Amino acid sequence: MVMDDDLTQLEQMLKDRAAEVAHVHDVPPTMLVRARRRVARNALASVLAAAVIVVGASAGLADLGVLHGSDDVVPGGSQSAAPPSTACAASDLRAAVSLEGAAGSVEGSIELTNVGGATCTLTGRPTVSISSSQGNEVPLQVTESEPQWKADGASPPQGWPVVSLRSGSAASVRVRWSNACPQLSDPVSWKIDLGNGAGTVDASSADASFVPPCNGPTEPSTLEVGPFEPSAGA
Amino acid sequence: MSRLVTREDAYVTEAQGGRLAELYVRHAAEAIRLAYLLTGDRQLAEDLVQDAFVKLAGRLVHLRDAGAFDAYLRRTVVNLANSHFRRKRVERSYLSRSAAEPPVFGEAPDTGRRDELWNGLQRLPVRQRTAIVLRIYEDLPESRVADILGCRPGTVRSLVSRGLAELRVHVRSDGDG
Repeated sequence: MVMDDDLTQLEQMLKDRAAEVAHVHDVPPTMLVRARRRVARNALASVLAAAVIVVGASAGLADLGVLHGSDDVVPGGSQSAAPPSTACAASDLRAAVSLEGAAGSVEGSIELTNVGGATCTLTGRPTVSISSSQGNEVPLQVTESEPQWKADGASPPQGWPVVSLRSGSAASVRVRWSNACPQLSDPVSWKIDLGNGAGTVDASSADASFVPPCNGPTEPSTLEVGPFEPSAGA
Repeated sequence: MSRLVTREDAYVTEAQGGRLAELYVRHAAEAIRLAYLLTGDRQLAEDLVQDAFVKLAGRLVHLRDAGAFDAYLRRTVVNLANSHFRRKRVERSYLSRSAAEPPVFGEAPDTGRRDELWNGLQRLPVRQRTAIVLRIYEDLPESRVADILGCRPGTVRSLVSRGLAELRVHVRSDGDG
């Protein structure tokens, strides 16, 4: 081990080097332009995603005759009362995994969007598995992590741990995957088992191919999975 | 950092409407210092921090807790620095090994103990260096460093310990040379 005075010298050296960076008074204009573009791109992506969901839901409702006054639909009173929410089935949901590289791992969230026509609920924590491009399940040591709202120091979302999803809204599951050995070079697929027999949803985002580096060949690959929570973008 | 705003929704609206500049002026210097210690390169540090702010601009609407901005920024800077070194590793694997590699951090010859420590620090594996900077410079507890690095607190302890031991070897060999 390094002696105490070595540590003191190291700390002082770090402070001296850090002090070489002066206070920032000006904002680089190019950064603001890039930031605005990014915000605009995100907004556009959200609008397009919502439009796709609305169009899909409308088409589904039209097929059922809801939007065209079908004889099968009772108008008035009995239709105006919202039916009680039921647990989401896998067929109600579309999953996308959004990950970014972290130090030695990849982290992000699984976004589960309700593409069904009715409100449904998610509760608890899914069982998540990952398979290689050959279809082999990656051995994982899965641990439970806290929800993002708790990590952010925020108060619990309304109704949590039950997450109520209106049609078109999304739930989120925080994930962090570390140490994939031997190093995976091909895309992987994610499966999200909703639990309670509700079925399994496959992740579809291209980001899902992002895999962590192999840092310890003798160590297990670990996956931290959070509980369902309302998506921050919902 | 409750001084930023008092209401979450006000924070989000203002931030998206132009408070990014204010956040940059307030937080960029400290973020650049961290990136500089992680990369050893001032220009690269400034570029990484700008990238971090651009990235966070797209996520401000998702940021539920204004007080978490510091943590988000720190984590993003660490992740971007790590991604940078990961890319560099890939690039280097395509380069000829026969050519002598130029010194990565292009410093003048060592003139003292602090330069030796600085150059030694930059030669450490990125995870060891990150753990040391976050623990010793940022003074974060092991649990927070573990959260950022995606490992257990015990691993952070080990990374710091091994990094310091390796650093001492670097410094000794530089001093002998």
